[in-house]
Amino acid sequence: MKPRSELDKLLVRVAYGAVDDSGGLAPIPEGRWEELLRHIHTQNLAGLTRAAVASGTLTLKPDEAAELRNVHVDEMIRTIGLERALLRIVAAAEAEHIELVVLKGPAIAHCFYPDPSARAFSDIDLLVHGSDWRRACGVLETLGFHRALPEPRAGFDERFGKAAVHANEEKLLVDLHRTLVLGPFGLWIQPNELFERTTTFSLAGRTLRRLDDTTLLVHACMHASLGWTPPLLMPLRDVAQVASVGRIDWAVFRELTERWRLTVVVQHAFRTARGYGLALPPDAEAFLGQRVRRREARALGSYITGRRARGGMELSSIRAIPGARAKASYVRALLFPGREFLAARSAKGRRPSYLRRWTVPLRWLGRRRG
Amino acid sequence: MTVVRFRRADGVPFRTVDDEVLLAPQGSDAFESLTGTAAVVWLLLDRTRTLPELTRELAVRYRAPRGKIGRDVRALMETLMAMGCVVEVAVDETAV
Repeated sequence: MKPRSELDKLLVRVAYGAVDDSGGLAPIPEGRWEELLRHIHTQNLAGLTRAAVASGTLTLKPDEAAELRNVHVDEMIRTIGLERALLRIVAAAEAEHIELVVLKGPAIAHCFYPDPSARAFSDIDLLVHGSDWRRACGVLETLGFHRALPEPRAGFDERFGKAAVHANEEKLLVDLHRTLVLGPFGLWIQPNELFERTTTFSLAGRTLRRLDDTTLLVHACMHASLGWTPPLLMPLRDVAQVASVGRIDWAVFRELTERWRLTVVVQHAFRTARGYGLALPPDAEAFLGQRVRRREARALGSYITGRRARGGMELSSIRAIPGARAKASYVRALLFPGREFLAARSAKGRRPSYLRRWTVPLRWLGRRRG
Repeated sequence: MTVVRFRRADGVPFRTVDDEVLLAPQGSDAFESLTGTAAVVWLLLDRTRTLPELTRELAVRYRAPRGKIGRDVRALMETLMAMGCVVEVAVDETAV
């Protein structure tokens, strides 16, 4: 996959310091800067863009450089605000004997980038054991982080959920994870095994847990492949950065991805990173020759094609959930969620409606009959 | 002999943007910004330092008289301690 739109190509050029036909020194095209800066901010790319300027692969006018610096400062303030909240949460969780693993943002910024100022983030992602889930939500509540969306039915989170976003008054976001991704790929991995594949890192004098380099690369690939289509640039850059800088045990990497049915996900991440001009180490290139199961490929399609918006991921999840009873529970939770969930998911000013919720499955049935 | 040293307080995330240091001290939701000499001092505090060590370092860097720098550094340490960004540690260096 390669960047398609002009904007994407321009973003790749500024954020990755990609050298184009002009030798990378051409100024930003007239009239595009404001839009570009907005996207740089949205995708947290100010630090990378300023690194490209510093390395001489991008030239900005003085006023553009000043605006970019302001955006970078904004991103850094939000980032350290999130890290401060993270340290408070970790301390509170430790007091309750809840194991936490820091995912993505802070772990990647401090361990894989030469300067953490290049790697901003917009939320904190934390992994907890399913058995600690409720208590961890309680810890967040006591610290002023309230859950943004209720679960569809009682017990859904622990059985089928991926994560729940919690926000505080300062609009800082904490995504509390039980597994790494929604849908079939999240159901195929073993969340408890992730806790055995951890190491530590230091943040502001405190020691925190994160996934080890090999497992973190698996997660980075999942995030880059399954998060957004077209992909966001920071997660893609993370894939290349962790693959190149991390101490990856490629034999373990292959074993894990094979067992968790993630070969296709990782290959998609590596191919996309390459298509966006990012360099990968030889072991990552070699991984592209791994065999992919048809079932995995079909599951990937439910994330990265138009099927996602038409309930494709839910259908893939039903196939991935083991046992008829569990499948029935999942379907029941989706079709008949609690009133509170229904109200939270309804557009403002519209009455909560089961009928509207059933539109997608009714379309499936209609298509099957037709 | 007990020597007073200074170090960054635990739990204070920070980032550098050019020559500016942004800090998020615990105990409040506020942010602090250090520039110039204050930013340099913060970066020097990547390990514990005494006031004379900091003063000597800055005097060399800025080619300025130690007396004035010493007073400024002492005032800065007090400000940073009041913010909760720096702590004082008494170290017994007799055995060293």
